[in-house]
Amino acid sequence: MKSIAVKAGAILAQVFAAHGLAYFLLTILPDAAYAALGLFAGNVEVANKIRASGSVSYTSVLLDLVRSDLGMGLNGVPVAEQLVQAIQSSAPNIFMVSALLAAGFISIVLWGKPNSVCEWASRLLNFLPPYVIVSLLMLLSLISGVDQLPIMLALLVPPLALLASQVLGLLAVFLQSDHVRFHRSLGASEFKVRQRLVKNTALALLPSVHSIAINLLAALLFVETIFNKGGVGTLAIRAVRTADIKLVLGVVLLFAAWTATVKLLTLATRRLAISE
Amino acid sequence: MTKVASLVLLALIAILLFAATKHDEFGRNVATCLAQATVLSLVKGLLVAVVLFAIALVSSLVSGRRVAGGVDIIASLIGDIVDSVPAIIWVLVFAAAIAEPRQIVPVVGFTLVALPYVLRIVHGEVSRISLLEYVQAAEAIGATRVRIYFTHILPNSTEILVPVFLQLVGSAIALDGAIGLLSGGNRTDLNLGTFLIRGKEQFLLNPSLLLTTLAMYALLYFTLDVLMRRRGPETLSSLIAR
Repeated sequence: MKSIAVKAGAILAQVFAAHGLAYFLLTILPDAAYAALGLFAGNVEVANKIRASGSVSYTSVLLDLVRSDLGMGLNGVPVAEQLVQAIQSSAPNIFMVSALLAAGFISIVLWGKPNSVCEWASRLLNFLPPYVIVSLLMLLSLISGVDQLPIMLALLVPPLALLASQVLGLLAVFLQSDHVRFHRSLGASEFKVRQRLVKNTALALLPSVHSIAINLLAALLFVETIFNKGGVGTLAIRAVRTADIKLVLGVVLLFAAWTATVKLLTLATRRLAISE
Repeated sequence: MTKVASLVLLALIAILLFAATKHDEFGRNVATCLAQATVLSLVKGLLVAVVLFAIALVSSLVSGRRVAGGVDIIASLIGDIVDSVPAIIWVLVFAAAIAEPRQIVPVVGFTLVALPYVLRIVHGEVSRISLLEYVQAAEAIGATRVRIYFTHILPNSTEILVPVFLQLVGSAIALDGAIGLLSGGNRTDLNLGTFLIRGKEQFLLNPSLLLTTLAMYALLYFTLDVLMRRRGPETLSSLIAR
């Protein structure tokens, strides 16, 4: 019970600390920082907005947040509404990518061959920068005219390549372990042996899966911007580019909630596995 | 090893010979630029990955094997806070904080943003291996924590950590290309990331730039992969045999 209270406290602290940190960082940033990044080359109007946002105290922002009011964006649309729309656009991609990652993981454990061409290819894909893959997929999108599939693949391929190379590396070890040899000596088929390895492999990869899940949202920043699609990523970039502080804080809240949810799920999975 | 080294050398000579006959849009010899860019990018990529792994390994050694230790909770909380703030805000912060030299802004930003990712995986893997029977056996015979860490835990965590290390090297090498893709960057820079972006932009006019850069990238991967190839797995019986 104490452990759960500590974890819940840590998660609440994380969400509020991230929110406060983002507010603090954005209000102390000089115009030069935006200009240096080439976001809007020191646009006077945007610089004035940043200065104006500095006059809103964090206490009032925090009180609004406690009242579940995220405020109004600079475009006159409530932040909550913009966030919901962005989530609705990005959620199908995130959901599909998560499902495909899970399916890919199980397939590799059941049928993957360590030290094969498949492992070599996954390691090479893992080493290649994600934008090379994204660029190739953009080309595919232009040629084929299908625009949703490349986004999904751009989100899927880099984490799947990492997972595949880790799974195949682990399988090489697990398939030589004493308990697997014992199962084989009892007459278990290769498929049965590998079926039993799914749980062990998943547990060993839990930290990687945790990191990959968090990075999925971060990957949206690049993928949606490059493919010019609406969603959480483009909303975050637009919020920063237009110095819409309330919208940025809303996006940070979304990122923090996602990070906390993933962490909770990971903890619950680990706890469940250990108790079994 | 000699065969592999000879193969790598031959491939390198082939790529450079092919590139030696070409010139880029600035009139520079592609082979010379590619050689310089490869060395600079490799140093940068390795440096970032080594720094990240050094921090993660030292912190996992210090925090001990108990997953719920105080150090772990604080490190994980800081990591989660960093993850909760979108990467673009961190890049802005570093652009403001580091006046000169501008080139290290993305490197520092990338290191900070990737740190929680690396910490989480390294800590998770170290705590998993720490609970295995051969580590407990080593503890039972009185081996010190540091000795166990370097003799048993690290060599047996390569299946998880090496792909992450390679991914970090690859991403850090290509960091300038990612910035080029989003906001322009400087096209005269000598690094493989910028070469990839320039190669992509000029693919129809000058495909050799992209092809030679990708070949160099594949060669780098092959060299690093061979150098970091895993050895056989450790079991309790292999420990007893040793």
